[in-house]
Amino acid sequence: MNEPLRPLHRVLMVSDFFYPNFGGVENHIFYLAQCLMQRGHKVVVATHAYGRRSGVRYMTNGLKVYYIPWLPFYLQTSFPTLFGTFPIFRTIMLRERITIVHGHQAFSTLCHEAIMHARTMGYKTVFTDHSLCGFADVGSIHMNKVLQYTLADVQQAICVSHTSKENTHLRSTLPPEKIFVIPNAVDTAMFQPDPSKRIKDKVVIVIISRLVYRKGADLLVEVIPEVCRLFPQVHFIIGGDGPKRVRLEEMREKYHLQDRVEMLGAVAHSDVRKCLVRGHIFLNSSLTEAFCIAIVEAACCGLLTVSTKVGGVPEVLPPEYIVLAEPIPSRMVVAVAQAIELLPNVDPFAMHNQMRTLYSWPDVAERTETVYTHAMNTENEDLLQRLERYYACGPWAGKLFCLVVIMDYIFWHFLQWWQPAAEMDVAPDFQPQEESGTVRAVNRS
Amino acid sequence: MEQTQSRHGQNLTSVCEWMTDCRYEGIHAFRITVNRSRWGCYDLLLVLVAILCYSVWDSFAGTFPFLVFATSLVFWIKRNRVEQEAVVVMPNLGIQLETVYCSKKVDRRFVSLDRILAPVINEAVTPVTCYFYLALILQDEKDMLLAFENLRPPLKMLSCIWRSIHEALGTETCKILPPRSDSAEECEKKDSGCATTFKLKLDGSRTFKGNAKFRM
Repeated sequence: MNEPLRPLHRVLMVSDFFYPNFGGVENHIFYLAQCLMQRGHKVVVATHAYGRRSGVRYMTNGLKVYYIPWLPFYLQTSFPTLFGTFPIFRTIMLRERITIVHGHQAFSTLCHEAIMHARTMGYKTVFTDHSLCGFADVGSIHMNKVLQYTLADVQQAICVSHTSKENTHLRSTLPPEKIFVIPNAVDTAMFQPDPSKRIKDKVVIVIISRLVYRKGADLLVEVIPEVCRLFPQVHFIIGGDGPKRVRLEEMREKYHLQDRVEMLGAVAHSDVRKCLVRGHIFLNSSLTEAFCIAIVEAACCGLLTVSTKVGGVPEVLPPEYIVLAEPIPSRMVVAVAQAIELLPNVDPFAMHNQMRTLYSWPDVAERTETVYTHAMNTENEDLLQRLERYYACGPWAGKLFCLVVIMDYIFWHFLQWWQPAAEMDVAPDFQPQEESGTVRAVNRS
Repeated sequence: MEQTQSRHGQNLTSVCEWMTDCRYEGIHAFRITVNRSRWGCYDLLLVLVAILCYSVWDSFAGTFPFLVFATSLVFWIKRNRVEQEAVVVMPNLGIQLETVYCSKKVDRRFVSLDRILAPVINEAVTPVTCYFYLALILQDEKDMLLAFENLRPPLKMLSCIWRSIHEALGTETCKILPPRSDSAEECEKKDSGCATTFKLKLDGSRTFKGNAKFRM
């Protein structure tokens, strides 16, 4: 039976976070793009320049990446200019014949600006939120207002967990029916279990994370000495770097645990598996987490997980593969003890096989494609309808948002006069030719 | 310079002129020229800025100092402005790149055939735009040599020049192949501006059909 014809999209993925930077968002964009391309869609990524990596680059399978020469100013995010990025985004959208703009991560300035400009030009937009955010501190209040502005005019939003969906809904007042939940995935082929690498008569607990407050490094300082006191056979391997590393090293010296706590420092993503397969248990002490891809990677390698019961973590793994605890040192110690008892019943290969069925990038791509189709089927709106929604964002903010959108609209008309779309070169689509190893330009209308 | 065949097209911002099969200082060659048009968006913007500046300046310093300043500024801009760029392809010898300024100053750079590894069409990204450019990869040089660096002709023109250079210099084709829909023998494109077609045959007899207009 023939598969029904699917609409093919031309997607521009925009985020400040992309390779050569490493992290969850970067991986997500790359793997999602690869799988969408395998499904016949055209995907282009736009991010800011990283050092000397500026201009156009082609990645695996001809994934085109625009490294726009805007310098990052804080935590790898571009300097917010509101209208400064409009000319370049307009050029990219027109020359690549984009149909959908997909922004990633609430902390990305480029993402917010690209979505705003895309909506001004009449493109359909989708936003993916990868993190949880608070409500009380100054930074969160500001961030939530920016998110409310962006999400006031997107067609669909995607969150990585149901907890993340609730969080996004509360922060942005976006109707829940517009928010889809599509979990992250992992390249299971990269995380194969290897029990032969484990030390036989010891229990090795692996911790791989950035050593920062948000990842619960302060919890580890109290949990590790207590676990070492209760279980003489336990060894710790800590991978990662950050401002809290000093505290962990002080703890190691204070309790004379140099022979039982191995600190690896920063671990390259390609070396994560090598660290994981040495362990029996993976310990995650995050204080806030929307999804936590690290525990999926650990489960793929056959490690039993002990984690704090925060954010979207309880949704990630089946209960037989994870022991959850409140983010309190005493509860964490009890959870580790439970995990050590459960270890003999854990089959690493069965765990890996289940992870392979639960979390696959082709599945994520298929579900994302459904979201794109939903977005494309929404009605086109004129400026007045858009302004109505912005105006409802607050007594002061609403008026400010309307002003920004009107200015963006005027600027768009100026750009149309300055550089008409008819005068722009259309970029050819490149498809790798496997048999000859060459790249061929194809004209896909 | 003896010229045997010429075609050109123009629009608001540029004139792209092709002069082929010509004698260039006694050498059989063909020349591709890109001219800047008399009036473009930049000139119009310059006038608008001048009017705006005048309205502000007049209330402070009066008309005469402004006119002196504006005239000298326009003169300086025009002097350093590129009026014309050309690529002169000399089969079996090499390529000469020419830049003509409004002040009639001419910059020429000749690159011998044995130093040219390949002509390439690449994409440049600036903070505000992205465009295609034609460049020559040279032996033992870190940087590529750009053709039409200032006037930035459109891709449809660049792709034809790229093929012409390949054919004229007899170099091997690159790993980037032309679109499947195009034959290797001819470059045929339709311009969105005037909906006429031009053909550039690569068998030595370069012929043109219709009025070749290029938008820049």
